[in-house]
Amino acid sequence: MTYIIKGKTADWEMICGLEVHCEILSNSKVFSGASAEFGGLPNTHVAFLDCGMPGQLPVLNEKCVEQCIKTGFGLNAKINKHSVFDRKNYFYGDLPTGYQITQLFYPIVGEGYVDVTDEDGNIKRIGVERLHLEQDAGKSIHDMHPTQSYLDFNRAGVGLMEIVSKPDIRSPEQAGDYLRKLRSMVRYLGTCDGNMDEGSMRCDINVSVRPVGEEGFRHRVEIKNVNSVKFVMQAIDLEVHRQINLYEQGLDFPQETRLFDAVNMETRAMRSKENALDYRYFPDPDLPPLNLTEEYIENIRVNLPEMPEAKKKRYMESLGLPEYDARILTSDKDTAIYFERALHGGATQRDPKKVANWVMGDLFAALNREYIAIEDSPVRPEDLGSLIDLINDGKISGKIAKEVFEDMFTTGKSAAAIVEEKGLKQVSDTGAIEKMIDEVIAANMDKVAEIKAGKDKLKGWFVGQIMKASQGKVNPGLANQLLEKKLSEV
Amino acid sequence: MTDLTNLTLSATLKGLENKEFSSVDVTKAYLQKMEDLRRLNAFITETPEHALEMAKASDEHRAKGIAGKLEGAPIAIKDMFCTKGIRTTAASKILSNFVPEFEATTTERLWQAGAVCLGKTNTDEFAMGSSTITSYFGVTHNPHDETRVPGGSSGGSAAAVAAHMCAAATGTETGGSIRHPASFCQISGFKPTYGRCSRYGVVAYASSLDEPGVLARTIEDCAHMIEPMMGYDPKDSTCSKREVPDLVGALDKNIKGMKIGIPKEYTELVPDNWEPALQFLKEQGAELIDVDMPHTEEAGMVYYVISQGEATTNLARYDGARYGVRVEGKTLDEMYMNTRMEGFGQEVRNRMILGTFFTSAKGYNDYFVPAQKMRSLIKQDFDKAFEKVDVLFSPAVPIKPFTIEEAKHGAAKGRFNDNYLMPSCLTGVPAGCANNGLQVIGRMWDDATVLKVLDVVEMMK
Repeated sequence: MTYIIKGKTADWEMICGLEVHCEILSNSKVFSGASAEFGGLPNTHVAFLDCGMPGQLPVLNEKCVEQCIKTGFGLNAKINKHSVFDRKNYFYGDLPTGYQITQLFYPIVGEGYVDVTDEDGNIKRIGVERLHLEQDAGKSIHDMHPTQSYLDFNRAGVGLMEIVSKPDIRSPEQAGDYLRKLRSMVRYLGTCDGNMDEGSMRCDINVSVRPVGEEGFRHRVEIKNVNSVKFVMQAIDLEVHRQINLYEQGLDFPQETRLFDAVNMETRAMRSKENALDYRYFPDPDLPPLNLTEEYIENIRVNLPEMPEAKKKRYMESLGLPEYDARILTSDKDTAIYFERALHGGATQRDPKKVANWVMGDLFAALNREYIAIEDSPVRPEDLGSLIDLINDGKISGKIAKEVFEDMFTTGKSAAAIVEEKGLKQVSDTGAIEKMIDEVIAANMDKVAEIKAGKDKLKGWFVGQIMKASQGKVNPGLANQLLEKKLSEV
Repeated sequence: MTDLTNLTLSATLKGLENKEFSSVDVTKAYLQKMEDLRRLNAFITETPEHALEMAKASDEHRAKGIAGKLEGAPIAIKDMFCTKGIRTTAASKILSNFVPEFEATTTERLWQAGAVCLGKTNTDEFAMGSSTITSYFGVTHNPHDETRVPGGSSGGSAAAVAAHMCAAATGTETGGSIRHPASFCQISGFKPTYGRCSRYGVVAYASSLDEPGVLARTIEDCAHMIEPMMGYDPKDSTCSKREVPDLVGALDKNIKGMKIGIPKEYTELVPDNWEPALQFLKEQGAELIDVDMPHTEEAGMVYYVISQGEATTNLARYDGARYGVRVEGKTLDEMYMNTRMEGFGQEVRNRMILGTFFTSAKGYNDYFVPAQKMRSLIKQDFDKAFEKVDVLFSPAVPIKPFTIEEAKHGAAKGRFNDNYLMPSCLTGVPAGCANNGLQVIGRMWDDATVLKVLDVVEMMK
């Protein structure tokens, strides 16, 4: 079932492409030596170039080039050995030089793709048109003074990767998964922190609709600067219905740029194509073309970290995890790091499925409950590993382990320390258990008689009584075994 | 005591070295001359106190035996170079209150070599012009005839050098702005290969053409001045890593066997000393060879399209928002318009409008791209010529300086004003003008040979 909207006059489908801006993780800005760190007091991360002083010249930060190439590999894309920087000219308060340095004609990364999961769980390939390197603008702050605006140039000149998809997206869910995949990928590669709240990943949406079966594209609307996966999906859904509604009333609308308003849940016109800007692109004469050697690109390729798809495959093939587990554990770089650290205790490897169950079960539940990111988990992966060891060694029962885990989560203490403090160690002393069984049998001879008469189910009740008497510390396997023996002796 | 301002830069350096006079002595003499000739309006900003401090420091350096190559020599700086703590205006109202917090690489190197800063010289606004009449700070007068212009855009520097108000000066060329005023003021001027001098800190006009250079009384002085300015600068991505040659040492006055090309397109109009000059070069043992430069005529158009296209975006940053003059408005756009209408002079505004058109979606394909193609053909002219000859020789500006009145009525638009200068700007080759108005153009990076031949040209009586 694809995403088809049943209208009054026709069945409609949507056509969508995304332009995603990712702020590059680098110490300094793309063309100046100022810090590229997020935040800071206004105008404290500003070189002379970043506020457009006369005579200041851009010098390309090689780290940003490397980050683009890495991301290019993450997009399965062609890396262009020759790329050129262009000036995009327009006037605005937060654009200090009156032009943005970008790459229009010859981007650093060419065509690639991202595989997403659609609403039916099928894999759909979304083409990537290009990735180009450019600089970010500063920030205009309009709400601090009734008649004046304030300017903060800390962000001006921070490196951006603009990733442009082909118009291959056919549903809000595909768009959402495309963004999630991109975010996961750049975080794996360490090329962008993927933080949409802080604006280090921003999305422009291009969307149009047409009746199913119609060829060609109708008027396209661009929705600017949508800053969460959820909002992107909502904005597309709203816009698609708005467009269909207009067509079905026999109306048309201009090719225009709109804004998404998450409070009123609507898109609003910003500017139409008729008064669209002419950005007067032309090659920046201050920057020579960027020419990369085969060796340089190859050197970056061989040093790439393992990507989600490859990792997922390895988890399934060599760790024997089910597809579902492998997908969840590799969907996010920090989850995969946590899992792998919990999996390995020194030279030994723990049971992957057991570790996976703990991570995806109790750990995820606790983290979600407390709104804590996995990299900040109070239970460190090594400690979760040790907890699993205690179960495997028969020192504590699985049931006790769950309690221990909760204690670990609240106190941050190690499993061994909690087990020791609370005296939770499992009783495996046969003599002690036998004694407990004897007492329970002696007190419940009527029930023993019922068992003898064939009411086998009551055995479970006996085990329960033994567990209760021992406050859960008895090894249940052992208790069962000894109970059988004792009952036969009665 | 003789007037110290009559000494060339080379003689001044010798005198300082031999302790015949101090840097303070010679600096004071120049400051006096600047005061006496203030009517020429060669300077936008004079820095007498700063100059005397630097001169004192220079004398101390000499006393300690740690003299730089230009130690104690008083020079002037075209007001296109950003100088830390000293107002830098580009001769525009929009920057009339701008004091940079940083220093241009080339001037920084001059100060490191020990030069003394006398002040900032007048220029056409943002170096756009060839008469020094578009300056917000008024017209500069030609010292040889004060009713006439000094040429431009480095007219303030040329007038200051010609009137002995400094030992030498910096200039910038985009379309001939060093050689043109050098020719009009009968002094020497040199612009090195594009990429030899860092553009960092030089107010940009047209980035792919802008080249810092020098003006002085002789070519030997030019060599002394330019050598410390050259060399790799990591702050300018278009600056070359090539090693700087020994330029003063290259002036051996020997051009025997050298092949000198005479482009026939550059001899349509020639000055009186042209024929004697050819004769002189032959006597010096050079071989004169006629060469064709078929795309010379197009250089002017190509220059206007490219320089104005680049300039319009380079000057977009002057919007009144962060520094410089601001004229308020009710909205942001209104503030921009008011600031730029009042802040820029008419010539700059004209070029902004044309440049905006040349880089517009339509203008780019109709003008900018064809201009870039033609620029390649002009470069081919040079490549072909330099297969046959070592340097090219021609008049720089084959006409006499026009009067200030004529300049105000568009005399600078005449075709012989700069058409012998522009092709070499578009190709980035090194070129210079001798103090008798004749020019030499060389191969890329062969700055030394250009200076060597010019030095011989200046031997002519």
